[in-house]
Amino acid sequence: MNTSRRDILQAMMALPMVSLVASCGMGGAGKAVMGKDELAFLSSLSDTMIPTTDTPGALAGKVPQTLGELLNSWASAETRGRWSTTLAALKKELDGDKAGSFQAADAAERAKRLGKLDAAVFGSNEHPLKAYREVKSTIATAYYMSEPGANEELRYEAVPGRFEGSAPLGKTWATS
Amino acid sequence: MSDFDAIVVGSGMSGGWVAKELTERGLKVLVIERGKDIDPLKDYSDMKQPWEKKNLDRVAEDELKRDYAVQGDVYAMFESNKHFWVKDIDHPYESPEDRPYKWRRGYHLGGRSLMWARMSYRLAPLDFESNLKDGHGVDWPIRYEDIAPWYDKVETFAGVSGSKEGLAQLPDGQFLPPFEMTAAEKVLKERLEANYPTRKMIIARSANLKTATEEHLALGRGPCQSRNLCFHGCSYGAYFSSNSATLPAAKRTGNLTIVTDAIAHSVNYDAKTKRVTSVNVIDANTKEKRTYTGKVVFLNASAIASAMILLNSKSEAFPNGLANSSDQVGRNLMDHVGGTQVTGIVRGIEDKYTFGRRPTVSYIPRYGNVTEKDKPYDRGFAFQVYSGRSGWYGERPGIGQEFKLANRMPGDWTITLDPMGEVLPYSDNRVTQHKSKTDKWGMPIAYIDATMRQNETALMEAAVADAIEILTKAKIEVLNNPDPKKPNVSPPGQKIHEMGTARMGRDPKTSVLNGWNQAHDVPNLFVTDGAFMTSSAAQNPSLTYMAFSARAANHAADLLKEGKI
Repeated sequence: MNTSRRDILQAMMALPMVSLVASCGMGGAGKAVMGKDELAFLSSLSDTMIPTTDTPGALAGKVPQTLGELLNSWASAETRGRWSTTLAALKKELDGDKAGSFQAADAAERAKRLGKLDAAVFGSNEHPLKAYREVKSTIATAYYMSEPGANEELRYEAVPGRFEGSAPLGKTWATS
Repeated sequence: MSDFDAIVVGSGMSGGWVAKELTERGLKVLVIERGKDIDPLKDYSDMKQPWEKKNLDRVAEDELKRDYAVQGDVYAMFESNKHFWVKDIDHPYESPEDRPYKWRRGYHLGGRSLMWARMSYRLAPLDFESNLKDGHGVDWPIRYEDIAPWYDKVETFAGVSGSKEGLAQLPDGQFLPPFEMTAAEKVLKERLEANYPTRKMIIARSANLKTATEEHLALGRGPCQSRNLCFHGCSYGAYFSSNSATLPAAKRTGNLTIVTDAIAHSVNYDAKTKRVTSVNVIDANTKEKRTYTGKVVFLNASAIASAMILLNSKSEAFPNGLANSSDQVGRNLMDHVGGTQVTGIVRGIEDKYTFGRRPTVSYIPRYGNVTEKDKPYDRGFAFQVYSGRSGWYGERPGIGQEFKLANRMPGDWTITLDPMGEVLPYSDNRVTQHKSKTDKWGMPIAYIDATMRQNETALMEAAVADAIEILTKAKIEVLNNPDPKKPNVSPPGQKIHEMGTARMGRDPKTSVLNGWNQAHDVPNLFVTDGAFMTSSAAQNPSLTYMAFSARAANHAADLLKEGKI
């Protein structure tokens, strides 16, 4: 029940936007393993997207490690290739022409650049970098399913022991 | 002398019940299970935290494609419980190109009782009369009153939480306390029942121990912890499965023998005594062949597999397969039909949320051709109702603190109506032995040729229109607006309720089993998995399999005692 319900909810929430990220039109050739540079970029991207604030961020949740494992042991070579292409395109966009590398920039500068890209992608259903949505969604999943993501950023009860259907409003539950 | 008083082929939902009832009657019982043994400590994944699950609990893409071509899109399959589902690559079957069949299976001790969705509804008096009334299929040989006491028995033992509602189309039973509806469900229930005096919304009846009785506790079962991890196996034994309930009950009698990794090949028939005498098995690992003798044989391999065993048991007396003088074995294959889900946003309850993860849903029982007549279809459908507040999701705009804050509080309450309809028995919706292909144990693979037809489509068309109207009238904004003229119509098998392949009936010429689940042709052969179902009704069927299994097992024990079989 849980999964179908959550899938439905998430699909529904994505409705107003274009939700099909898998067919991003940026398909590349298959790829055997993600490169170190790619994973380093992904790490920087995760940290910028979900930084440490009053609560732990993506790095505390080991999001880069989870994504590295996911891409190397869950993803098919084709999916890995697609991600590789997407990451290269994102890196190119975020590095920009003259301002220096995204990864080398300070947190404020990285946030500025990613924020601009994020707004552009979510502002259009046909953005050339719409595959960014899949990357973002996967980073978010890895974060909210991490121990600090579930327990500190959100709420998680391993053994609730009871169910209430009209409980007081509170932070989002990590799992449903 | 026979090795055993009874041989039960299959350890799942129905086989577990047969084993329990027969052993408790003092009979020596052998349960043959084609799959592996299950060790809860090793095989259940319910104690893993989300961050301990490999790859966000997703089965690797290549593996999914290669090994799980059919099982791969089951809602209840994850990386951490993938061993509960068969590798399709090892267990092939075929269907016509344009008529795919989704055969979802688990080969292990307990079978699909370990992964079932636990919906537990009685068939109603009208369900046992429907074939006779509208002429589809053959008449059930028994009526509701015959099975009602057995529903009482299995509900009490299994533990079914639910509410008493007094509905003619969904009889009340022996219930544990119900789970609570969510705030959104309460809103819809109130408005639905105000708008339609002919319709009801109830909390689902679910085989989860809302509370545990002494009988449950004695088997090592404890109350549900509202974790909603049932598909991973429950270390608390809080939902009903063969593993948590019937097999432990059978074991404590001292009368039970279980052999796993033993694939039933065929059942031997003695033309002189007109009885079955033994079951041939193949060791799943070594391919060694063995035969076990028994005074009575129960087939509980699941509807398609039990039909395949009968078809593979050929003799001079039964050249077309055991107990198949009617030529009905393998025919009338039914499932339930699913359609398009319709979802809406429930407003005005933004101050409410849930606590805990309820392992069940709500339910709008069938009303078509029950409380509302003149429908453009025969029989009817029910809705499962899912609801909750949308939680975190990645595909929302914003980064950094803005993104985190947006996800930190829940979003809208949504509610989804998911229809499930009755499928009629069609004699040419059928499983046969493949003409040339065999599996790796040398047994003919199943050829499954079944399709949904006009009435099933009509049900799902009406379901879309009704769902939109129900939500709209309840002032719940519909999020997706599917076209009622183009509903999804699930392929057969998708609802994982295969049944009907050795139907019960009054006439040996047109049915395989009599009103006791006993083969018309062979008095010491019983089939009590979904194969016996004469019609499908709209309700999830497991509880009915349990009740008929308990009833048939006790009848067989009576006959054995009286020396009649």
